[in-house]
Amino acid sequence: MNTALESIKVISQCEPTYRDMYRSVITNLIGSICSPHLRSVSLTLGSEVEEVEHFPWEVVNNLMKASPHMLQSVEVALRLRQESDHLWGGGYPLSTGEYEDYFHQVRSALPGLDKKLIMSIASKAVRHS
Amino acid sequence: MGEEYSKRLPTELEIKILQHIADEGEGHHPALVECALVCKARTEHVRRHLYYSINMNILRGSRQFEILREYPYLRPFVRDFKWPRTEIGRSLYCFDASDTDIIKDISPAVMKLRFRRVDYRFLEPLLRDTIPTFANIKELDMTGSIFEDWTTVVRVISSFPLLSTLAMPRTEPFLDDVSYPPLAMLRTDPFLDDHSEVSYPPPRRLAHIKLASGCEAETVGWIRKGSPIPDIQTVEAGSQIDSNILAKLLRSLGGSLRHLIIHIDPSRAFLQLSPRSQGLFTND
Repeated sequence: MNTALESIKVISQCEPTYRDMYRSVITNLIGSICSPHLRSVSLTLGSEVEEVEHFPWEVVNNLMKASPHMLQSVEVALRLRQESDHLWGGGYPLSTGEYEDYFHQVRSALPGLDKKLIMSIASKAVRHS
Repeated sequence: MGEEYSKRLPTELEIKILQHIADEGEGHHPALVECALVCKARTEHVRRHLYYSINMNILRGSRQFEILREYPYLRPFVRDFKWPRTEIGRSLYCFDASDTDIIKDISPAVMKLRFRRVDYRFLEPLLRDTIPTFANIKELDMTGSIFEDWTTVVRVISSFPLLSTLAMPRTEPFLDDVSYPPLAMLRTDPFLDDHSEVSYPPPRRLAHIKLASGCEAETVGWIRKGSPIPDIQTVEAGSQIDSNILAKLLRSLGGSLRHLIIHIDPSRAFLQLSPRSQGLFTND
């Protein structure tokens, strides 16, 4: 269904336990958008570092096909932590310098976006109201 | 004297400086308090910053409220008001009947009311009566608040004709109260629903809505029955919202929808948007 949708913002958390469900939800949600007016996409992801690799980036890349001329920016904000130790729980947050590798990983997964991709560290913990 | 006058900064620049101090202070503005005390020319402008926003869920907000109690002439400066949470164990401040006059003085100038995590069912009648006096608000955030039934929700919302941004609460009847109609009856009685939705239609200027789980079906039905359907441009949905109902809303809005905000927390569901579900933008 074509819509006049100009922007979509997804604020999400992903846990390894729910990875498959999360991938389905993201794929269904973003994959169902077919708006020739889409100008901006904003994705905030709070997760353990390994989830960056498992995120269905191809569906974000495909947005370029639906809206090749209008899409001006795709903002990806990460809030990452190291894998939790199941014995002790938790998982400590990454320092600013440690994000560079994961930014590179996302950029590599989204080659079609080039300069339209804006990477950042989410300013605070991803919360749901 | 003439020399001193010539050393004064232009008024616009002074106001800019005050604005910067207010922006930087994150709610704590000792410099502004001092400025209001020593500079008569800037007092009113400074008070606009000092009392613009009152958050009753932090200590500073409850102190500001006490100042408003003592100095009624400061009450009309409030534009953004956070009602105290009434969740058990989370309340910092509890309104009582003695506060109603202050609230009623504040309310006409307030543009944004945050009424989050308030259990409306247990509010005293006098406090309930103050809520419609916020008649000029453009933003109302009732995330996490609990109302006894859907009719009460739409009746309260109908008090705010200028509303453009709305975050919905949820409904939860008193299950132990035998005089109350059961939840199923509240949800399915067509006469009750039709009656409330005709009497309390959605605000005409509504442009941004955030759905709440548990009453998303009622909310979407209410909006779709609006005559005309409000020109909603932004839809926000959190975890646990039934995606089929969300899709129904998006289809109803059609071309007017501009922005979609989704909060996904798989551990808290959004499970209805499973691989078997339709996408949000697919046709019926």
